[in-house]
Parts: sequence; structure tokens; C-alpha cells
Amino acid sequence: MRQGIKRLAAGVLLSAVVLAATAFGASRETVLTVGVVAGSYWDAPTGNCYAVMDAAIARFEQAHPNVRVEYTSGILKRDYSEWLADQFLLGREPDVFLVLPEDFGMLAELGALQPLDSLLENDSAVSTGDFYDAARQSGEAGGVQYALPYECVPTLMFVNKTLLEAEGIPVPDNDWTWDDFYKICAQVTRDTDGDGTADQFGSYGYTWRDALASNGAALFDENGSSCLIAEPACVEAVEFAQRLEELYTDCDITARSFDEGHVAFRPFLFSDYRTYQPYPWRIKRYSDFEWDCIQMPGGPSGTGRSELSTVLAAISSRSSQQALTWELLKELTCSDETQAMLYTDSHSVSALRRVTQSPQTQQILRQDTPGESQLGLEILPDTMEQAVAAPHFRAYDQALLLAESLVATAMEDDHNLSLQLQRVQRELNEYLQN
Amino acid sequence: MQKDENLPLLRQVMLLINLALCAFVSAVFVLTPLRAARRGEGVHFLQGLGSLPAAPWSVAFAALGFAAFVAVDLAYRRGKLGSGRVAFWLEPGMAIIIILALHLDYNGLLLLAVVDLVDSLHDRGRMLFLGAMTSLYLLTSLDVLQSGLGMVSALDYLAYYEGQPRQLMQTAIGLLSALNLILFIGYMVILVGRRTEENAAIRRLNGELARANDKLSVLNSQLKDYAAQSERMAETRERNRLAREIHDTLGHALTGITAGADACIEMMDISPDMARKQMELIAKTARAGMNEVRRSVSALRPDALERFQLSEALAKLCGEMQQTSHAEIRLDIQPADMRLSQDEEDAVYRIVQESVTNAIRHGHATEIDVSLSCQERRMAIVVQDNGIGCAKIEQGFGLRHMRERLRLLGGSLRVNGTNGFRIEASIPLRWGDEI
Repeated sequence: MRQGIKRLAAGVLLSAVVLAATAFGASRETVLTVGVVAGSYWDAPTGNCYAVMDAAIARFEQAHPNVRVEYTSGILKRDYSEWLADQFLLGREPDVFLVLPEDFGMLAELGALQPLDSLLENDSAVSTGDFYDAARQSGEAGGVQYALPYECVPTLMFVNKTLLEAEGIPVPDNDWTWDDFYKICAQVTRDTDGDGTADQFGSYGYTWRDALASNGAALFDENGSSCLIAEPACVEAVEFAQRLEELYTDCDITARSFDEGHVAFRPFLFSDYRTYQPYPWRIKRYSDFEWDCIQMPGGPSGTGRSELSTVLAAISSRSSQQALTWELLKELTCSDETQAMLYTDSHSVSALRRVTQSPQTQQILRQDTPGESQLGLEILPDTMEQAVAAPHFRAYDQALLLAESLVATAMEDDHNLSLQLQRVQRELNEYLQN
Repeated sequence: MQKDENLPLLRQVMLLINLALCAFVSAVFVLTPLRAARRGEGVHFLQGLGSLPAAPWSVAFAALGFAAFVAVDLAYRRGKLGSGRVAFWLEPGMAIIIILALHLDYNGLLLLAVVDLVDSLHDRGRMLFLGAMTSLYLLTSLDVLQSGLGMVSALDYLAYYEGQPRQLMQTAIGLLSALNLILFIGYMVILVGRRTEENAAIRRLNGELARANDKLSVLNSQLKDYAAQSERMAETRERNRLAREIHDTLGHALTGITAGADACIEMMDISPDMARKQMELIAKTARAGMNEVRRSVSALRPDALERFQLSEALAKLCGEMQQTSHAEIRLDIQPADMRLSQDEEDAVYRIVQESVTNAIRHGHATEIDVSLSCQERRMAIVVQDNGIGCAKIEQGFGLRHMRERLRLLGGSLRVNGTNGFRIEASIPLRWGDEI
């Protein structure tokens, strides 16, 4: 009898504890953490760098009661990679975080990122086709989608309209080619004040890598196991860069010459365009001449035009809140509201086709763009469609540095570039395979 | 005895080495990321790794697992785990938790578990246990499994450190692991050696036992011979005593009677009175002789009849025979008290004893019916068995003896061996003891 009462009491106590624990667990709010970069990845000055993120979080919290989203503010772009790595090492990584292009390869290879393929498949609201290909490919490694594009910035060609007008040359079309580019450069590069040295130049900052991207050529294969610099399309691109370089032999072109209006073309990030085009930045920096942006010139073998730089967002593979983190990731990367805010509160481009091509976006871009500027719905979507994603394997940054110095040396040698590039390719292959 | 002290000592040293190794590897797993993070070398550290390292707090599982491992072992040694079977699941289980928490980098704990448990297992259980543990050890040694599970090796962690400290740490881990392995092998060698010695001792003892048995059987047969001899001696002694008795009692009386009778014959014509006196004397001598004979006979009576009534004695006899032969003997006496004289009782007892003995010995009977009944001053003894019987009855000593006894009492005996074996004896009763 007594035993029975004791057992009953124990049972009641146990169920009470379980109930209390369940009730407590249910009423307690879930906390999700987000890793955010302070300021623009492309160093474009912005007002409130957290405006887009804050609005997205507010919307998410409203849709999910009992969920609170937190982030650590003030982590600058130059510290962000290290901060994220440290958090992973300490086991305190955020549930959802932005991934800088240079970190993506390493994080994906380490298995730090949650594969999104099954989530994408099972979610009817999202499809990979919503994104521009190059942007989506930036978040793909080994055929697996590990991250979705949060914001991106294409490279455009800055045109000094005043200079071209003075030379009697019309601003080129958006589908101009290397030949058009070379012809104009050769035409405008000359000595204007008659002191014996050239003081007006065709281009500044256009490198063999820009040529590579516009010729459909890649420096490395997708998984970073071999170098492709001796492939015909690459050789073509490097040859073109070399030819362009020869126009400026013995010339000293600096950023200053460009700022002062002595250079016709310069590759330019879209974010910079957005920063300097509107008043008052426009007046402050380039007051002496009229300017605009067009697409990069296309090479003979390629359909792409420029390399797209993409900041991604991903879910930690160790996050315990898989369903919620996916919702949050969607809020950041696939929500029209969040992505549209990139155009109002940031200087980057949304990777969502429907946002970038929407009338509202066109409207916003037009408001910011004075006069007869070409930029708007016509060129931005085309640029995004024709952009290519940079490779992102683990050793990419190191391999790229090595490639740049090797190719620069090869280009200095006048004899048989193709042979030189084969040597470069061999050396890079050796590096990659070790 | 010295070895019995050595084994626990070895085990304790192994436990300490394992503790040290686990603590060291744990420290590497916890402190290296902390150091990298504090120095702002997180990216550099991660670049050197093949996959994402587990969070430092996961090492706590190793600490808890180790505490549980030691607790299980203690409880097992103190016999608090009942049959101890639980320990064979718990200890390897804990070891696996620790091994997983330490990224499969150190699996020497399985050796410790073997050392802890192998001693109390035998034969098939031991083979199964050792087989399972060997498979686990091999499985956890696979680098493929480590990378397959996305675990980062301690060596990758150590690669973060520069030259000398790294070499020191690698050496420490290597040395301790090797020491653990050596202790394990030493333990097993000592254990196997001890087992071999034990087996040899058992074989020696068995040999001694067999020899002692042989001696004992020799002694036994000697004892049997001695018993037979002493039985024969007792028989001879008894015969001598009987001869003496007969000589002393009957011989004496008969001599007196013969002499008295001779005198009577002589005196009959001279003095009939004297002869009458002489006759009385002869009768007195005969009676005295009779009494003497009675006394002798009573000294020879069967033990049971001395102490019990005939019916009780027969019941006891049948009971004992039944017990010794396992044949079922049914005794039926009507009426229970028959007031027989001593020689009649003796005869009845002997006849029943002889018949039952024959039925069991020669007839191999399993059921024997013994019935005693009295009708018209005649006693009938019927012993019927279900044995093999015999077609032609050979007059053996037993039967002849029975006939003689019966003739003395004026009785008769009939035997029939066609349906089992049936003995029917009939004795006329005298009622009283006058002769």
C-alpha cells in the first residue's frame, strides 16, 4: 500500500517536471545568430550599413514569434574572415552568416556550410532559376549549392564622355568588342600639349584578367586542380592585354591621370558607379568631365563580359535550427523586400532577376542617374546575365597571386607568348597539385 | 602469488597512461583553437585542416566518458554490477564515446577495456569479447573512417605549432601510446603464462588423483578378500561351537540315557523297583538333555525372532528384502498372532526366508506374494512369484533343507515351477510346547 503511494507520488512528480520543462521550452524564445559585415564589401561608403539587415531581421522576427535574431555589429570587412574562422574554431559560429567570396572555397571544403540542395528542392517558393547564373554559381562547389547570393557587384567600363567628345568619337554601344576598344584606345593615346610624351590615354587598369573574363576563358578549372592559361582562349586574352599594354609603353598612367580626365576607359565596380554618380559625390570626385558606364568589351571567343563579385549568405552545418535558419536565409537572399532594399540602402546589385528587372528598381536607378546616362534597366540586367563567376576553390587566392606575377613576367617577353604561357601553366599546375 | 599482485599494478599504470593521453589530446583539441583564435590566426589554422574541427566543448564528452569508464570499472571490481554482464557493454561503450569525442585519434582505451575485463571471461565468451574488441580496435584505427566522419586528426591540430613544440608534443603522444601498447602486451603475456601454469597444476592434480584411486581399488579388493576370509573363519568357529554343543549337551544326555537304559535292562529282572527308579532317572536325564538342547537351539535362533514376534519379524524380513532387491513383496498373515512354538516359528521364518531368497536369486521375480494362513490346526505357507520359474526342479540344498525342517515338524512341501515358482508348505500345529 505504502509502496503504491510512493510510486504514484514519484510518477506525478516526474510528469510534473516533464510538463514544466516542455512548457518552459515552448515559451522560451529561440535565438538565432547572424554574422554580418560592417560596411560595404566593395568599400563603397554607405549610410547605415545595417539598414538592410535590420529590416530583414525585423520582418523575420515578426513572421516568427518567439524567435530573436542577434548579430555582432562592428566587424569590418578586413576582420570578418578571421572573426568567422575564430567563431568556428570556438564552436560559437552564427547560425546564418555572410560569406565573403575569398572565404567560400575554404568553408565549403571544410564542411562548415549546410548544403542547400534538398532545402531548395523541397521549397516551392524558391528556385535556383530566380538568381542570375553567375551569382548562384558563386555559391556552388563541387555541384552542391552551399550558399545563396546576398548581394553582388559586376564590373563595368567607365567612359570619359568629355574626352571622347573632344576626340570626335561616339560613346560605344553596349555590345562593343575588343577591336572597338583597341581602336579607340589607339586613337586617343597621344601627346596633346606637344611636350613629347603622351598625356592622354585610352585605358587604365584593364588587365589580362578582365580580357580573360570577357573571352569565355577561365584561369583554372572548376575544382582548382589544374590551370588553363595555355588554352587558346586564354592565350588570345593575354595577347590582347599585351597589345593594349604596348600602346602605353614608356607612359606613366596613374589613378590621378584618370581622375583628372586624361583617360578614356577604366574598369569600374558598379558599387563605385552608384556611389559617385548621384549628387553630391559626383561633383566632389570627378568635377572636370562628364562620365558614364557601359559594359566591358566582349572578346572574340566569349559571351561573358566581366567577373561578378558576390557576397553570399549561408547556414552553418552545425546549426541546431535547420528549419528556422533556412527561413532566415530565404528572408535575406530570396525576399523581394530585402533584395529591393539593396538598391535603396546599399550600392550593390540584387542577384534576384525579378528584383533587378522590376520597374521599381529601374525607377530608383533613374532617379539617381542624371541626364542622358545609359545606365538603367537596359544595361544592368544584361551585365548581370553576361557576368561570370570567379572560381572559388581553397587555394584560389594564393594561386591567383602566383598566376599574376607569372603572367606579368610572360607578357614582358615579346617572343612566343603561347610558349611562355605553357611554362606558366606548368608551374601553376605544379603548385595546385601540391 | 607475486603475479597476482603484478596484474592489478599493470592495469593501474595503464589506466594512468590512458588518463594522461586522453587529457593531453583533449588539451590539444581545446587549447589549439583557443590559441589560434586569440592570436587572430583562425583562417591560417582552418586552412591547414581537412574539415571543420569539432567545437572545443565537445571534448567534455571525453572527460565525462572517462569518469564513467572509471566508475563502471570500480563498480565492476567491487561486484556491484550484479553478474557483471553490464560491464561488458558499458566499458567498451564508454571507450567508444571517448574515442569519438577525441576524433578517433586515440583508441588505446579499448586495450584498457580488454585488460579490465578479459580476466573474468572464459572460453566462448572470451573469444567473442576479444573478437569484438579487435574489430572495434581495427575499425577505430582507420584513417578513412576519421575523414569519412569529418573528424580532424590531432596531427592536423599539431601542424599549427612550429617545429620544436610540435615535435615534443608528437613525441609525447607517440611515447605514451607505445607504452600503453607495451603494457597491454605485457599484461596479456603474464595472463597467458599464469593460465598455462594453472592448467599444468590441474593436470598434475588429476594424475595424483588417478594414482590414489588405483591404490584405493587395490585396498578395496584386499578388504573384500579379508571379509570373505573372516566369514569363512566365523563359519568354522560356529561349526566347532555346534560340535561342542552337541557333544556337551546331547552327547552327555544320550550317554547318560544309554548307560541308564543299560542298567535298567540289567535291573529289570532283579528289582523292578530299582529299574523304575532308574527309568525315572533316565527320563530326568533326557529332560535335562532336552532343556540343554533347547538352550542351544535358542542360542542359534535367528536374530529377528529373538527380538520380535514372528509376524513382525516376517514383515521386517520382507521389508529388507524388498529394499535390497527392489522386488515387490506382499505379505499376508491370517491370523496375525498364531502362537507357534519356537521351533515352528524358526521353521516358518526360515522357509519364508529361503523361498523369497530363491524367488529373487534364481527366479529373478519382481513380484512375490507370501501368505500364511491357519486352518484346522494346520498352517499353510504359500510363496508365489512371477519369476522365470523352472520346468524341471532340481533339488538343491535350500529345498532339501526345507523338506528336512518340515519333516521334523511332521509337515510337507510342494513346489511347482511352471507358472513362476510356487512353494506350498503345510505344518501341523501342536498348540503348546509339550513333546
